[in-house]
Amino acid sequence: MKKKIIFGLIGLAVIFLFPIIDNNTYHLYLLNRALIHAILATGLVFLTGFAGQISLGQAGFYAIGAYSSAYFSTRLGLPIFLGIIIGIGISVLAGFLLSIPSFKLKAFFLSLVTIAFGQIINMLVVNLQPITGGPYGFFGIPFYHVGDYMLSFENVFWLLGVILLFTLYIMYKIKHSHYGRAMLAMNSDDVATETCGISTKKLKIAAFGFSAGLAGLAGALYAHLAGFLSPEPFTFFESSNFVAMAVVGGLRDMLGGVVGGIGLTLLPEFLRFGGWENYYLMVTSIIVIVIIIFMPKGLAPLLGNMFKKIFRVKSSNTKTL
Amino acid sequence: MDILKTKNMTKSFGGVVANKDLSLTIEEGKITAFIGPNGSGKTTFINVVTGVHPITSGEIFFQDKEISKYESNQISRLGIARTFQKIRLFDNLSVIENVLVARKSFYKSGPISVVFNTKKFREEERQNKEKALELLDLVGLKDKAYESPKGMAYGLRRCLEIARALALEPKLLFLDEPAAGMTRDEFKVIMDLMLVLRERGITTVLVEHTMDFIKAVADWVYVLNFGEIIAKGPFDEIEKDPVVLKAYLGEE
Amino acid sequence: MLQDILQNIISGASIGATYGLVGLGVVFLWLTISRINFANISSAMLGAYLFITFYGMNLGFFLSFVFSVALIALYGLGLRQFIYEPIRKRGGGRLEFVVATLMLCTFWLNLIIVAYGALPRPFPPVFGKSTDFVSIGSIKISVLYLNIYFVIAILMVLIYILLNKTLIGKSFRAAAQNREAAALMGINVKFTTSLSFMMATCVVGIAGILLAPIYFVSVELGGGAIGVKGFASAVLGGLTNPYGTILGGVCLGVLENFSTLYISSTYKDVISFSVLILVLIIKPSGIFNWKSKRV
Ligand SMILES: Nc1ncnc2c1ncn2[C@@H]1O[C@H](COP(=O)(O)OP(=O)(O)OP(=O)(O)O)[C@@H](O)[C@H]1O
Ligand SMILES: [Mg+2]
Repeated sequence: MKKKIIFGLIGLAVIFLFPIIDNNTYHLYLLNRALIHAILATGLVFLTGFAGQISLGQAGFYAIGAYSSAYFSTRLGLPIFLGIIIGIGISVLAGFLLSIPSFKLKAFFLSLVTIAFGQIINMLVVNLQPITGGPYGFFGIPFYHVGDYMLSFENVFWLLGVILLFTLYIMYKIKHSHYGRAMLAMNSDDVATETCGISTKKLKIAAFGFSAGLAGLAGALYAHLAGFLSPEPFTFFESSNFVAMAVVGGLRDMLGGVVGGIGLTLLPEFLRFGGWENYYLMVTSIIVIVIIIFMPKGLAPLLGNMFKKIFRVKSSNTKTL
Repeated sequence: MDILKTKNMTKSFGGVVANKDLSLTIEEGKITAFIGPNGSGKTTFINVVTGVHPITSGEIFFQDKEISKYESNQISRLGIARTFQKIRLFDNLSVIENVLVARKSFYKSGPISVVFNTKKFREEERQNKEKALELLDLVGLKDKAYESPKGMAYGLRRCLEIARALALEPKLLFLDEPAAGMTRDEFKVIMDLMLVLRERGITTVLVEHTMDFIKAVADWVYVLNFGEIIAKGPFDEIEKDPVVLKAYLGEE
Repeated sequence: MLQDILQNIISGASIGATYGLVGLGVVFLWLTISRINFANISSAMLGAYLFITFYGMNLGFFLSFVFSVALIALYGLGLRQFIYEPIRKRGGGRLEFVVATLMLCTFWLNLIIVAYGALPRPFPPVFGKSTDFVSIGSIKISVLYLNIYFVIAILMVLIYILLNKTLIGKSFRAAAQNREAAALMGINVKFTTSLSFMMATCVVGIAGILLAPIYFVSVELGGGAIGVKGFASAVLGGLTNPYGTILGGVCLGVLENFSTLYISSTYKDVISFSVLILVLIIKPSGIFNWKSKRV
C-alpha cells in the first residue's frame, strides 16, 4: 500500500516536472487543452458511467462556462477567478434544467433531447452577437494572472493539474459514499433504487448538475487559456468528441475521463505532425470506432492492468536481488 | 390496529383491470398472505401500494396517512419495504453495498462532509456498515459481504434482497413469492426468518403459491381472483371455502 | 398576402417532406433494431456528393441517380456488417452504438472535406431552377418544389407497397419485437436487418439529393441542423410511423417558413430543436403516430 503511494507520488512528480523538460510553447498549450478535456470527460464518466445518464450536449455547458466567464471578466471587469465561478454556476443551473427530461426518458430519447439542447446553445452563441461576438468571435479575454503577475503556460499546466486532481478526489470521495452507491444503484435499476428510499429524480438532478459544472469549469478554463472564443469548439461534433473521450477512456473507471480526454486530444496532433496532416481527423474517428468495438471497457482499465503487471515484475525483481 | 388500509383501490393497465375496488386492511404485527391464481393481481397490489405503479383510483392509508399520491421513494422512507417477484439486485455493487444502498436515508452527512471526510461521516459510515453486516448475518450472508451478487445461487440472492429490504428498518414488509424456485432447505430459512420478523414486530405481507408455507406462517389470508377479493380469513377456513376451491380448480 | 401564405406553405412543405425522408432513415432502423444511427444524416451528404460526381462524369440524371443510390445501399450494408454486428456480438450496448455512429458522422464529414474541399458546390439544375415557375391561378409554384414533390410521392408509394403489400413490413415488426421469436417464425433476421439498414441509408441519400438544390452541395448536409430536423420528424411520428414521420417533417418545414416570414430567419432552426424537446417530454410516443404500437 505504501509502495503504491510512493510510486504514485513519483509518477505525479514526473508529470508535474514535464513542462520543465519540454517547454515548447505549442506542446504546453496542447497539454493544457488536454487537461481541460480531461476535466470535462471526467464529468461525463460520472454522468454516464456512474449515474447511467447520457448527454450529447456537453459542448453546450462548455460554451456556457466559456462565454459566461469571458463576459464577466472581460466586459464587466470581474477577476478571472470570479468569472470562472460564475461560469460554473450558470452551467450547473443549465444542467439542473437538462436533468428534467431524464426523469422520464432513457437512452436514445434522452440523447436526442440533449443534442437539441446543445444545438440551441450553439445557436445562441452564433446569434447573441452583443454578448458572444457571434461568428466574429469574442476577443481580449484576459489570460491567467495574479495581480500584475502573468502566469506562464507552465504555471497554467500546474494549476490545471491541481484542479484535475481535486476533481478526481471529489469524484473518488463521492463514489465511495452513500451518494455514489445510490448513483451506481440507479444505473443498474432505478425502480429498485426508488424502493430503497432514494429519490432518483434528485440523483439525476445532482448528476447532471455535477457534470455540467465540470463542463462549465472546463469551458471557462479554456476561455482564459485561448484568450479568444468563436462558435467552432461548441458544436454537436465537439459534444460527440467529448462522449467519445469518456467512452474510449472507460466509463466505469475513475481515470477513464483522464485517459480519454488526454488521449483523444493528443492523438490527432500526433497524427497531424506524423505525416497525416490531411487525414488526421478521419483516422482519429476510425481509431475511436475500432477501440469501441474491440475494447468496450475502454483504455483506462487496460492501462491499469499494465501498470499492475509492471509493478509486480518490479517488486519480484527487487526480491530476487 | 391496522397498519395499512385501502379504499376502493383500482389499478388498470389500458383495458386490463388488475386490481378492482380493493378495500382491505392489514393488521399490525401480523403476517398477512395474499393468494390467488396467476394474473389475479397480487403483484399489482404490491406495486401500487409501494408506488412503483401509480394508482388509477381509490385511496391508500399507511398508519392513517394517505399515501396514494406519494412517490415510491417517499413511501419507502415511511417504512414500507418490499422484494420483487423477479429478483432485482444491483449487480454492479457488492453484497454489502446492495444493503447499504437502502441505508442512504439514514445518513445525515451532506456532500461537503463526504468530500472533506469529516469525523461525523466516517462514524456514520461505520455504523451503517455494522448495521448492514448485522442484517447479512441474519440472512446468512455475512461471509459473502464483499463478493459480487452476480453469480450467486438463487436462494442467496433472494436472501440478499430481503436483507436489503430490512435495511430500510421497515414497519411493513412485502415479500412477493419469496419461496418460488427455492430448495426445501432455503425455503425453511425464509420461513424461520419470517417468524423472527414477526417477533420483532415487523408486519409482513406475503404473496405465495406454496400452501404449506402459508399454512405455517400466515395469520390472515386474502384470496384474489381477477383483481377482486373473493375470500378472507384464517388459512384453515379459506382452505375449505368452496369459492376459493372453485377459483383454483376452475383455473387448472 | 394569401398568395404569400400559400406559397410559403408549398415551399415549406416540400423542404419539410425532405426532412421527413431523413426521419424515415431513423424510423426504418428503429423498427427493426431499436437503435438510432447518429450518422443518419451522413447518408444525405454522401448521396449529394456521389450524385454530383457521377453527374460530372456526364452520366446524366437517371444513371447518376441510380448509381448513387446503389452505392448508398451498399454503404448501409457495410454499416450493418462492420459497425452494428461487431458491437452486438461483443456485447456492446446502446452507448457503444451511439458513440460509434457519432464518430462515423465525423469521419464522413472529414472525408468529404478532404476529397471535395470545404466550399459548397452548386447542384446541377436537374430538378429545374427555383426561379422557373408554374402558375396555378395567381399562385406561382417553383418547378423545383414541384419536382421534389413528385419524387417524394413516388417514394411514398414504393414504401407503402414495400411495407404493406409484401412480407417485409411484417418481418420488420416481428424482428423488432423479438429476435429469437422472429427467427423461429422463419423470418430471416439477418436479411431483415440488412434490408432495414439499406432502406434507411437509401431514403436519406435520396433526401440529400433533393435537399442539395436548396442547401447547395456542402458539408452542411452532413452536419447537425438537418440531422436534428430528421430526428424531430421521426420523433413526431413516434419513431415507428413512416407516414407520420413525413407529415411531421412537412409540419416542421411549414412552421420554419412561417417563422422566417413573421419572426426572424436566424432562429428558424430553433423550431425543430424545440419541437424535438417538447414532443419527447410531453408525448414521447409521438404526435403523428396513429395505430400506435408500443415503442
Ligand atoms: N406493467 C403492466 N402492464 C400491463 N399489464 C400488466 C402489468 N403488470 C401486470 N399487468 C396485468 O395485470 C394483471 C395482474 O397481474 P399481476 O402480475 O398483478 O398478477 P399476479 O397475481 O402477481 O400473478 P402471478 O401469480 O403470475 O405473479 C395481469 O393480467 C397482467 O397481465
Ligand atoms: Mg405476481
